[in-house]
Amino acid sequence: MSDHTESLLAGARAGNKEALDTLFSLAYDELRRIARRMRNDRMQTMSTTAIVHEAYLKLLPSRVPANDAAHFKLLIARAMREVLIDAARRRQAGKRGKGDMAVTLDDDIQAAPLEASQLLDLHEALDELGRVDPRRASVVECRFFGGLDIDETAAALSLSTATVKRDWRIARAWLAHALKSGTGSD
Amino acid sequence: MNADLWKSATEIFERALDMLPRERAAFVDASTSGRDDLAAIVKGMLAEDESDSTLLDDGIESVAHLAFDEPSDALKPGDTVGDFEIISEIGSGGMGIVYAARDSKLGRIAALKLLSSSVNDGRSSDQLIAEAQAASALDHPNVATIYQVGEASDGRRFIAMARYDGETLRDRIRQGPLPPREAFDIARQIASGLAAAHSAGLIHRDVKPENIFLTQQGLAKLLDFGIATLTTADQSESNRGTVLYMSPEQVSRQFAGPASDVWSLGIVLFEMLTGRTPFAGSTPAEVMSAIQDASTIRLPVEIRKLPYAAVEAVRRSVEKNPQKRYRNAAEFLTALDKAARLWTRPRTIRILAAAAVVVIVGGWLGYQQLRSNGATPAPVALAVLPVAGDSSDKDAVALATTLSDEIAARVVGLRRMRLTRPADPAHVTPAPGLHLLRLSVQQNGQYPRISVSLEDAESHKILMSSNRILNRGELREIGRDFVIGTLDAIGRPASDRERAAIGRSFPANSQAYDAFLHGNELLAIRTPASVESAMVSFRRATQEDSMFAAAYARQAYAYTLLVDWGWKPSASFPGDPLTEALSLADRATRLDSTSADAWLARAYILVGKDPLHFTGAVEAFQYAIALDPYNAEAFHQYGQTLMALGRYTEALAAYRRVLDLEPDRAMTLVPMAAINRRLGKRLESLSYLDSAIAAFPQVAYARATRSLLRAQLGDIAGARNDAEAAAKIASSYRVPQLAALASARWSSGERSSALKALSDAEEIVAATPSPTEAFWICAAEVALGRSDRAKEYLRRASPRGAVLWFMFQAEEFESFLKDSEMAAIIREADPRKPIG
Repeated sequence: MSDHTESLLAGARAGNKEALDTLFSLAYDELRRIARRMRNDRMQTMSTTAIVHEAYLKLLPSRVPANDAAHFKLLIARAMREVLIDAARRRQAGKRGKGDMAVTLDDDIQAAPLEASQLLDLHEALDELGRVDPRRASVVECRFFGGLDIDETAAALSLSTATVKRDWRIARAWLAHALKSGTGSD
Repeated sequence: MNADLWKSATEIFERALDMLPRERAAFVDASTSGRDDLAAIVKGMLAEDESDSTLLDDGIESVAHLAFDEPSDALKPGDTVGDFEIISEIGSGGMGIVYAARDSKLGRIAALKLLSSSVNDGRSSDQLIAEAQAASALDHPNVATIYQVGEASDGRRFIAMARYDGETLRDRIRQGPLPPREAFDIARQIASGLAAAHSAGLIHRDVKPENIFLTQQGLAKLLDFGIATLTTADQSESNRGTVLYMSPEQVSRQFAGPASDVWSLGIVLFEMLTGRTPFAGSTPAEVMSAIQDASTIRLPVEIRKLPYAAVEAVRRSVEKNPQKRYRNAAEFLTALDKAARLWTRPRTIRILAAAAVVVIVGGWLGYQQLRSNGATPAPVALAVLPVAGDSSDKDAVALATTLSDEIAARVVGLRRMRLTRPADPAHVTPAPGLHLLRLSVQQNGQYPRISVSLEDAESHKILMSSNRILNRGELREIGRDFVIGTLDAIGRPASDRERAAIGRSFPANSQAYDAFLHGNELLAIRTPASVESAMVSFRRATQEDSMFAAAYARQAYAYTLLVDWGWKPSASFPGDPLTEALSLADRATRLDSTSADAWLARAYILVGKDPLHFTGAVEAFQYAIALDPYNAEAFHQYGQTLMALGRYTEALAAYRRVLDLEPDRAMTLVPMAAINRRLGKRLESLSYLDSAIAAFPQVAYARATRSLLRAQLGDIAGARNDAEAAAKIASSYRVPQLAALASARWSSGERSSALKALSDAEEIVAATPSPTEAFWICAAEVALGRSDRAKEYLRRASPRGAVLWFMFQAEEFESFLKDSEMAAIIREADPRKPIG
């Protein structure tokens, strides 16, 4: 697995789109696998951050250059975003009675879980932000979906921590505003 | 939204952020005039920027459940597993779900843990059963009782154990750090359970808060014996569970023996005391590499503030090298017992939390103030409660804790109040005049806020409350406002002079504060190298904050300490050290005329300036002590000074006061031993040294001192043991131990190796030996029968003042001082003779 990832990473670094896609789907599958296992085990550490970190450990070859490793975190954060959005869509579909999903709600995990619909709205607003300001959208992906802290985000995106802090503050304010005012879907 | 609109919006937004809130509206209106879409976005963003709870702050964890949207293999009520019928789910542990289940044969209710299928690693159930039952067979009150281990029909294994009422330690820690007494009690109980296991050859391998259950009866029970070994085999597959408590040898997959359990329990103790683990907040890989690297775990201020024995117990349990760690739980238990005893009697101001603590206050200054007011106001006391906090920002909580200490010290110091430090508000007995001071930290959006409140303990009336953003650049303002607010609220407002001074005891920013705290930590180690580093730290603090009186005062003090030790500051500290130190102390006094530290430094400098008579020093010490009657360091130096002046009774009283304030400050026992010896009480002297060495086995000069005393008492073998042990201790300054070694070897008849040790000592003795150095080297020369050489060293000794006089009052020199020239040197140094 690791050797494979290593060559894919090398490919991705060289700009090979196919290698990047393969890496992404590897990450996607791994995240789902880990989530499923954690669910079965009822792990204490049942959080997306824990899943992301575990996937990162699992997929990343040990000898990879630090730079690649940092960038790989962005890829996993994006894959996590995809996993959650897909799950939210399935949830929505289930609510509307369209799908035949094995939905197991764990409402007691969090007192007030974010609604799947809110997550989908955020996803759309973030897409819109990404169209005009891809860098700040990536900061949100790393921080929110990838559970990365400021330093990790800075490393993943090759930015200074000061920039990440400022980007996060701007993106956070706009996303919150967009969600509240509904401008996200304009 | 198009790119231009976004660009304009972010530009205006960023510029608005740099303005004062009241200026923003006008600016935004002006910059967006005529563009409604732009105005709406910018205003919306500014409004959300101030909001604490946007969707994004709630964080991804609130949608985490979506990721777990997968079928589960949990059991339902009514399902049967072995002899057990599932009643309900009661929780989930690291390795599976826990159910309440009824034993269909015996009727009793058990807690049944169903191990998840991925834990089944192919090891035989027999082994699991054997280990789990062996642990259960220990029948120890601190090890959970296991009823049965078996296999469910689907192949998953289960463990049925006794069900207790209570909570896991994890639940308890979630509510915040534990008071030290409770934390040490729990650690002691678990160490006791582990000790029984270790002596039966069992290793737990997974000690963590999830596996420690606290019953309502106050018993701590260790769970999951034997199961843990299953997970270690699984670690390569995935880092399941937590790596936070894994020992370095577990991480590197070397032999994990009893010492590995000691480590894990040490980390649990660390977490109980601080609310966090040393390696929290990183990925498992980072945690594992931090566990494995060679660096020592840095103990945070919450732990360093504890008594020495407690700090030592934590420190040695988390030694990365298992050879240096307690070897097994029994050894750890002994240390924990020693630490736990510290909380069975009243403790000092320096010790955070623990049981309610009362420090007796006196000080003539306070009485004078009261008397000059005419009336006698009701006694006022302050109980400072532990900092409460729900902030995820651990640094903020630690910062608030230190700030709380400083505020308390300041208020109490200014108003001569009684101070108590209850661990728990519930333990406070209301009394007239008792006030409760409470600090807490809350995380509100991006910024931690700190709030303070002062409550009348009897009426529960809130006399003052205030709350600020914990901006690390405004520590001085926050500290000063809180102190002034507290003084106002207790009805003893600060005078103008005091107001000006109060601020200077707080640093202007957290960089200055960090440097200051680090300096204090280094100063406490009291080796030449650490004190020089401390000076660098204090200097950095004053560079960060040129008005920081306390940092100037401590820097002056550190300077003087080095001079006293005869150690020459390196090139980075030019100028005459005492002159430099005095100018730093002056600076501190100008900034804060009520600074006890500044007076302490001044007193100590005066000792150095006039080594013969210490003119002015005694008064300066008394003034420092009156300003801060809790300053153990001041009492210690005051004691040293009195001792050198031959005022033995007063010196002993000062030293006793040091031990009242800081019972763990066992080095004070060494000068107490010296005084007793001068008074001819050799056995008392010996017992002081025994206690000092028991507390500080690694301090070479205490052992060297005892070696000399034992030799005097005719205990040649004991003297030899001490000297050899002292010589083995790594130390940057080796004259005392080499001198003791030379004497001890000579007495044992090993003359050539004695001469070797003495010549090693002579090599490092300065051309102009300090009085202490002259004492050690002369004692050895005399013991080896080389009085002529001893005379030469005494002739060169400097300064010829009180310390030299005191040192040569030792019995070793009785016949040596029959020499008239030598006797004259000592007589000349006698501080008791009239001046002139």
